[in-house]
Amino acid sequence: MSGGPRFRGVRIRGLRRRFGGVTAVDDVDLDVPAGAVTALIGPNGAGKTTLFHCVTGLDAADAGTVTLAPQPDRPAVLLSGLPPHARARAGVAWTFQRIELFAGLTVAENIRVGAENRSGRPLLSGLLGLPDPRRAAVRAVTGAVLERLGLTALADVSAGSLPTGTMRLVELGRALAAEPTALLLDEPASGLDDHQIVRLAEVLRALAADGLAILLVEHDIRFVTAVADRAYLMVAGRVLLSGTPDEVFASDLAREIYIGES
Amino acid sequence: MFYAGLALNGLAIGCVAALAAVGLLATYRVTGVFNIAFGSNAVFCAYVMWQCVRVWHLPLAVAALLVLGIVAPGVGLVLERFVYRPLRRSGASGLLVATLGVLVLQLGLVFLLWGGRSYVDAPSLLPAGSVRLPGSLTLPYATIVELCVVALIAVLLTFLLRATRVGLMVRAVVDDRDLASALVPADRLAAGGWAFGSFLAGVAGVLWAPIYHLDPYSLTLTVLETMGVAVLARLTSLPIAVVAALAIGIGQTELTAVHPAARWQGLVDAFHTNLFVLVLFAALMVVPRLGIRDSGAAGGGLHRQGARRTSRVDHISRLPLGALSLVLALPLFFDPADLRASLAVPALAVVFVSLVVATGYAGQISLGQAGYAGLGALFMAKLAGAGVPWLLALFLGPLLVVPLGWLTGYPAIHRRGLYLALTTFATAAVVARFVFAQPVFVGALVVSRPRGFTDDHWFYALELACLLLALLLVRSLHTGPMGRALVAMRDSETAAVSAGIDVRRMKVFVFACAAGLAGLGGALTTSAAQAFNPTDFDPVQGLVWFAAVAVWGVDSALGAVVGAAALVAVDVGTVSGVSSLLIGIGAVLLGRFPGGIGAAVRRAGDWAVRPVERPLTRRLSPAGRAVARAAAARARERPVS
Amino acid sequence: MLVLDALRVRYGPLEALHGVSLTFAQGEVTAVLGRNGAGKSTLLRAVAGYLRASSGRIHWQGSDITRAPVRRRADAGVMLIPDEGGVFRTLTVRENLDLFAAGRELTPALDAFPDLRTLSRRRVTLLSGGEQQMLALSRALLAPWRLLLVDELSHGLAPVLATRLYDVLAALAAAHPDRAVVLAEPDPREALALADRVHVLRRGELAATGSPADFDPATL
Repeated sequence: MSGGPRFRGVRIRGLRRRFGGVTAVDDVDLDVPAGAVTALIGPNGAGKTTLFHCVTGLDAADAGTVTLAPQPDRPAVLLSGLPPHARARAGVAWTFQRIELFAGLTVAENIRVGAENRSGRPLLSGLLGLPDPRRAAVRAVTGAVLERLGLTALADVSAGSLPTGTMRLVELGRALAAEPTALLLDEPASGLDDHQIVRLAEVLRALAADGLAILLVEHDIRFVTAVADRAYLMVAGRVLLSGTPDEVFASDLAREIYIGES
Repeated sequence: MFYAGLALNGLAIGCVAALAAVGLLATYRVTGVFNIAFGSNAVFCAYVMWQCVRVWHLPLAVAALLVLGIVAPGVGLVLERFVYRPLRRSGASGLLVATLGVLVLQLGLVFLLWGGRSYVDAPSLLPAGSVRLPGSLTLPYATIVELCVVALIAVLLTFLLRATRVGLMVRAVVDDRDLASALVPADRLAAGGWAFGSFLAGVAGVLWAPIYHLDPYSLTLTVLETMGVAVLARLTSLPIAVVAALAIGIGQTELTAVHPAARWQGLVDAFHTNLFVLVLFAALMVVPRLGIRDSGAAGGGLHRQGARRTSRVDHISRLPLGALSLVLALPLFFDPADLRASLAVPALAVVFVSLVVATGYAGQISLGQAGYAGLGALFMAKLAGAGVPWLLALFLGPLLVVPLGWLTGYPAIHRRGLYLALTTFATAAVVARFVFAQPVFVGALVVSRPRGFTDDHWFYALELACLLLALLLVRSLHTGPMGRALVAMRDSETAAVSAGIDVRRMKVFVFACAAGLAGLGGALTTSAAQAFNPTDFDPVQGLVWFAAVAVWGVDSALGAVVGAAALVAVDVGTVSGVSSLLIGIGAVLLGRFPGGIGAAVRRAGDWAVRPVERPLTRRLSPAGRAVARAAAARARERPVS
Repeated sequence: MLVLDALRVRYGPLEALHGVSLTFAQGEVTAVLGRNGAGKSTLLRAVAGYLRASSGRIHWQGSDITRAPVRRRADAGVMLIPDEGGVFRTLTVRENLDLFAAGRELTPALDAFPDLRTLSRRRVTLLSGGEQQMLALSRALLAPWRLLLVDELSHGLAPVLATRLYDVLAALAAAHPDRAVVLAEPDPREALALADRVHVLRRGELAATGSPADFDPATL
């Protein structure tokens, strides 16, 4: 996983999502630059997860666009309108607030599924049992991801029987196995103990240093402060504040609405 | 044109359907379970009623009191205590299989006790005669009584659930039995709900039996078809269900007055006799979502727990595979009559393997494989009749089913659990009524085997070759990248999508594969019998097949082959009903033995070849051991404060 | 008071509690800490009767309730507020409160959480996670209890909401000094502030016991 031109940020413009009478996401502009960790914070029901889903394609925005930022040699890639699996193949990877693992597969197989489905292979050739041309590459990536997250010893363990913290790591591994350009994490520190949180922070910093664009939704103030380069405070569907995590958490608005000290 | 006389006749039909639909909905509202076995329950009660009156010569009133007051609620109580209560924490799919199991079990019981005979002399509780209306129209008293019963149930239940404290408690139990059990007498309320639901089934059965013939299959199917009305009501609105049922009943009789050009008459006739099937199918296509909590992985409750060995070589499976091949070759040395009976085994096995593909591998509950099997047989026969060489037709016919599977797989994309099960069942029912039952399609079929295969030995060998081909084909759906992707999709669709798997395309693809395999099985079945027999592909038969495969382990192709052999053997060796009874019992118990017989055998195999050095003091999973080691290491590093 | 004696609970072949012996005293707020998977929820669910003990005994106010069904324990004053599923999702807020109160006054809950008053006719599925948690906690305000078991009250909540729920719980505990409250939390900070006594579970075993002053939240 070397740095280089393959990493590109995510650009969100004028995103809007309504449910019945409630505007969950209201005209949001947000940049998730490559090579940095961006945090999205806010009280429950502020629309963070909805925004998240609109980027991954699990939910359809009513207006606005989501694009992979252009680069000198490559034009922007419009993600809006693509189904979620196509966005995944285009280079967006994500994890879930409620852990979603393949409980019937081992840790290594979970990660392998992330690696081997990033390009669509004709289903018929799979049915006829033809060898997969990417087999060697898939193996290499799987091994590298296991190594990086310290999961090698658990490779052959059934993913369904792991403790929560380890499950979160496997989920992250599956996302990384697709060699994404942008990584979206929904409450990655929830259910982790302090040791694992420190470990996760290190991994995320290293990934950002590699060039990945990382967006995370998180409640843990210490974790956000430790890992994020920039934080956005979202309230009632709108992004009201942005800055370094320290600035945002120190603001009167955050203290009143989010942290609960006056 | 609208004919008042016909409308009144239609009202009578609509009433019966409304009774079924209201019964289904009421059961659903007070138990939280969509009871597919409602029909078989009704049939069972109707047979008991017949027994009481016609054999034991009990007075009608006494018999009615016995059946509706004791037998019907009693059946509900027994089912709640021994089937549904132990399953209260399993998902929608687990309950679905349990209700299917009850259906198969009750049908088996009816076959065993009454030989599956139909009777035309079912005792009627309703008064004879009719009211004269102006314009020389008549309205039977029976219809009036039925209308009153339906209205009474609908009004009473709505009032009970909406406006009383008991109603609120019942709704709480249906919503979350665990939480409710701390607040209200949940077990008693649930038992009461099932007794009431079963009572309604009894009422429906006793009122219907004299109108239709008392017949196990057709009556059960009739109830299943009225599920369309329940779907139209989104399983919630009792008034909509009543109105829809009456409207369809009237529509059905009004259609009899439509006389188009002669060559279309057959089609119109098919429409009006099967309007309920069409409504079921259309309703499932149109109604976007049922008002049910249908959560969890699609095949949840059917699959065994724990990791599957997709990427590693499965040493244990070699042994049964070898033994199985030997056993399957045995019939070649049987005497001619037994060999003839054995011909059904590989054909059925291929159909069962198709079920394993759809439901076991892809997690898509498919109750419609009987339809695809029949179509495969039909296409093969048509092609052979058109001069295509028989051996070519045998494969080309099923291949033609693949696009149909593709097409019907589309509705499966967004449906799951019960909703998907109903959709696939409706597909099979439509095919059965509009194709298999129409002489236009099934007349003059060539199904005799050609020279070379008239000898049963050769044909049996050909069947085995087809079965082997099918097993080889599904192997790649079980192992390698494809197998992993399918397990991923089954475990979590959203996560599979996030990994870049095109879940929709994958589902439709697997559905099409399964349809093709079922078609091959159907073609073999018909060739074995040398006759196209629509009852081989009856939709209710499809339910029995599904239950059988679930019992043998829904994700075990070998289990499916053994299951097919066992089913045929039991059917040949015993009286009718025994096989259904056994399958039903197995399916009902499935909630306690996830993964079925296949998984149990595999667990036993794992245990037999377990490494000797494994510490037996505290049995932990591999994960548990790894974690325990890590925890011990950490505990050494940092002493507890 | 509640006494657990060598309590073991297993899920199929996996044992989640390996013989835990504990005492929860009347008039105390006890915090059960430990990471996810340490057995906190299992412990609470076993005490409330949702899980069967595979061995060991549970005594509550002198009588053995190891085999008693959920309903009997509830009648004896044991109340569990789970982290998920503490509310009836298909019913309205009002209907939930009615069921919780079982004929008693609703005002204690409506006064503590005025939001519920305006949401009265709304279906629970349409509530936010925080509102659902308020509703779940209302149960402890409406019905009498002798032993209150609260599982991960702050699960997935923004700090402001978590603080509010803890305030209500603290007031409730203070108002009934003769009753016992047990909190299970992965995050020790709020719980330590509230508790009189702390137990730490690790891998299904009791790892430590003490008073809050003995524990430093940063090292737990």
